[in-house]
Amino acid sequence: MPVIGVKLWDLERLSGVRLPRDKDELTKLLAIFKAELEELNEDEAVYEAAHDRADLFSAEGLARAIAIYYGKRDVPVYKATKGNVVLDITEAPKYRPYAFGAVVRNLELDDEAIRQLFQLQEKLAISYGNKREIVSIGLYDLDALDPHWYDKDRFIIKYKAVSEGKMRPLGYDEVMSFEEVLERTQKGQEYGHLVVKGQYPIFEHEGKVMSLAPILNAEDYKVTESTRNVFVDVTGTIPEIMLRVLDVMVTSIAERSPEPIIEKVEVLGFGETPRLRYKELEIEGNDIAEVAGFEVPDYERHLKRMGLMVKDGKVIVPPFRIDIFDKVDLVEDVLASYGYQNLPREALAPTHWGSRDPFYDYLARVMIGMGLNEVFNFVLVDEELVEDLLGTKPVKILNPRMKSYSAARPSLIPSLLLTVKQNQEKFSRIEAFEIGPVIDSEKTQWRLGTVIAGDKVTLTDVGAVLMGLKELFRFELELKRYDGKPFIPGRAAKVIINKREAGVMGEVHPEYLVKMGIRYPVALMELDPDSLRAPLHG
Amino acid sequence: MKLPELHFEIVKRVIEGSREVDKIAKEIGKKKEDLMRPLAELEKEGLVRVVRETVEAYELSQLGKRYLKEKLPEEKLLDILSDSEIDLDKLKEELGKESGVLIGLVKRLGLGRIENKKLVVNVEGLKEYARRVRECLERGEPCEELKKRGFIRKEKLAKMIVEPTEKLIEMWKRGEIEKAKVITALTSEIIESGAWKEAEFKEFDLTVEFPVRRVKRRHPLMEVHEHVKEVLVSMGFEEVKGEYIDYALWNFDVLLVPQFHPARSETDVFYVSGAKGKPIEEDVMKRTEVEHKRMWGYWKAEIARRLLLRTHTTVVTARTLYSRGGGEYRVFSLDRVFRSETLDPTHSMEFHQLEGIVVGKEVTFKHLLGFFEEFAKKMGLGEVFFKPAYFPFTEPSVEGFIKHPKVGWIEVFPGGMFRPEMLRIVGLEGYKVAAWGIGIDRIAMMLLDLDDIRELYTNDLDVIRRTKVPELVLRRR
Repeated sequence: MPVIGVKLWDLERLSGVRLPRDKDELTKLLAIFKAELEELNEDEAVYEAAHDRADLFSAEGLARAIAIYYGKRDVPVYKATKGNVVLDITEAPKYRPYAFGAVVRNLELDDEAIRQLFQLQEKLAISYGNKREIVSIGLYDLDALDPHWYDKDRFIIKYKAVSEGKMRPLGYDEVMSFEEVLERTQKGQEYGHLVVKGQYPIFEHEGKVMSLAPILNAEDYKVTESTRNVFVDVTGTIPEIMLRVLDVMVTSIAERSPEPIIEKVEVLGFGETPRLRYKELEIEGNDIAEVAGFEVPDYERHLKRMGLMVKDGKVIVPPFRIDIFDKVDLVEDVLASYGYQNLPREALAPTHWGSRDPFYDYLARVMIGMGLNEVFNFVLVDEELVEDLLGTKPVKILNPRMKSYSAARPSLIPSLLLTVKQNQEKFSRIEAFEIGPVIDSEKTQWRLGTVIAGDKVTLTDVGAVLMGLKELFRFELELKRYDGKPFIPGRAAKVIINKREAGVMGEVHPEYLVKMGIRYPVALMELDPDSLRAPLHG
Repeated sequence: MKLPELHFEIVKRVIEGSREVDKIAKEIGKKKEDLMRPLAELEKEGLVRVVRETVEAYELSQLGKRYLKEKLPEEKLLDILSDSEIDLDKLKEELGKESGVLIGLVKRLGLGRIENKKLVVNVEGLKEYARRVRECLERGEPCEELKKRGFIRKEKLAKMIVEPTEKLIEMWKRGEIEKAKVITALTSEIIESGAWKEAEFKEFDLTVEFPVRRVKRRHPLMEVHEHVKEVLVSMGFEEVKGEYIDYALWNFDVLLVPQFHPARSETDVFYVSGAKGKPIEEDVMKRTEVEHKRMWGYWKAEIARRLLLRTHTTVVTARTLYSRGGGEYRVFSLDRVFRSETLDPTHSMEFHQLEGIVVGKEVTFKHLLGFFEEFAKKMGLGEVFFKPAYFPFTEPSVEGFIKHPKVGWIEVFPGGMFRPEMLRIVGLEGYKVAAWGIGIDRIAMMLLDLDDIRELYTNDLDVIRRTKVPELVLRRR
């Protein structure tokens, strides 16, 4: 979930609402919008926004939500009018084929406003853009690009692939080639993999390079405190997400103007953007009761408080609420406004008896009754250890974090030996068992593992456990010589229960003990626990 | 007759004639009180008689006791005397107050006199006198001289005298009194032969600590799990299990997690190789594509076909809905899930989730909240409070908090109503599903009083043994 930093004075000047400086009070307020306050240092608040509430990834949207909640303003109507900027994407690179844009005019920016817009741009690109891969956003000062831009009939900006070129990257004094931008700048190193060398995606206007997308903008047209009019671009691979993100971006930027003007950009070969669509959903009181389990009185008031317009029984969803798809999303807003602490809670009596299979718990008691300790081990183990001990290739993790946990155990044997290793410093005799899952290439299965370690331990020690189980569960037992890994040849057996192969037992070969750093002789047994309860008849 | 050791020791000492209890006790090396019980038993057997009488006797006074330890004034004088006389000043310097007592004494005994400020003494006579006094003192005899000097005084003393009976004397002569055996550990032979009747059981010294018998117990984590399962079964839930390796389809796509969502990235999820997935459910694929394209305008089959280690048990409940369809039922799953984490005190790449669903025509959000409250009550977790939350596959969603005794409110109860898009994907129509997932590890650690998750997921027998018994087990119901 994105973590957002805002200044309370900024929220207050945007919303016109005096905000609490008390941590608990502010926590309660933010919770209504599914945001969780993490820190409050005097005037600076840090909160975790819910992933779906993209409109709350910066101060503009949060202030808007708070102002509407407290009745300080109505849900704003953002409307894009015709403009003169044309975006030509006909020469876009194939691997990043889309770019859309919008113009927002009449801005009044200061340092904090700029910081917020950059934060929004960054957080959207991470959460919705898969780290700029599918959506990336850029902002430019149009007047810096051309002081007479507005006088032109068609102000053409091109998004296109070029084989080479140069620009002065944002935050640098020198002009660099695109290759240098990728190699030498921090953003270049971070996002360079999204760009194909020799097919650099750029924005340009009459030969002026505005940015190398989705890496860095040019220093010359950056947004500053004196910027009044901006061009916003989104580039990427999924048009639908790009359009939504552009709506969130544009409606947030517009909050930084006393009288914002949003102008459409004509995207050649696509249409006009931004979309700024006000979606309609139908909802009745009964729809809410169906989900919530009770009638919420005056639910329309709650919808309005949450920034949703209600007109003739229809709910109009503003374009920045990209989280709303269905009635159920409206229900949640109604309940949040109603207050989760006020919601009825009712235990629903079950219509059926509960049940579960108690056999593994029973088996654990039997093993404890035989004087063994129950242990827990991870399913994840060292891939090399498995191959070494068992001579088989386990299911591997493609992106492991630690070598010790790089594969799924296909058997409990590695875990049982790790148990001995863990305990040999404190105990001179170890008698333990584990009932746990193992994974092979086909499926997840459960195993009963028994391990006995200590001086003079032999196969007899685990054999006795097997005989105890046989006596109790009354199965038919057959043992066959087994010369497999990791046992001493001639001192291991296949265990056949009720004519079905149920597992193995044996003394571990000293070669493996030495390799693992185990000092004591080890005898172990691994069984399919379900074989113990197989019926004898038939 | 076989007598226990102490009884035998008493009898042996009175066979020649009556003895005082004090003296017997002293000889055996016991306190007088220790002999009272054996004496009562011997008297009951008719072997001895215990006679109590009061006698007048002389005892050493405080002064007498002092001179038993120190030298008498006359002995001190004899020590410093080089011939038969000593300057009075020097005498006073050496003996202090005792010099006056000494002068009076030698005068009374006629063994000395004062001349020219000197004490002249009959050395031989004084030596002889001092020797006699010392002897009387040491023996505790009531000599006249001790009485005169106030070294002894008359006291009334209660005496206990043990007298042998005729029976004892007769039996002793015939060799019928024997010392009994001491039993430190019973054997079947002793029990069967009846030897225990005449044997003495060695008394345990309870101040010496016993050795510890090491407890073999269920793994503490399992102790908690067993209890949790019992609670859920009592609330009408059935346990279900599932595969650890599954398609991204079931882990993410069915749950409406967009394919570009950061939670699906390789920094968060363990993707696997070397596993053969079962044939993928093509109907689910088709419906998933429809819903994703509607919601996100994007969906690719190959991303859904990737195999991974499941990151939550919602996979299991989603698959249950697909296979069981509609009806009125409740299932839960308590099992392992995997996330790309590095093992440290608060993170584990492998952990447990407790997840469940309540399926029915009339199931609503208030019943989900009611479930959390009821479950918390049965688990002894106290009060619950709720906040709105976001999960891609539930709406409305909730996060429930409980109060941790050390760290305050903690989030443990996420849940919500499965979204209609998800229900369409698994092919469920006309039913509603309340779904909850519970951070069972945090609850287990709280109940077991552990701060480090590595102590929960442990194979260390010492840690397992020392872990607290979960309070749930101890609570009376």
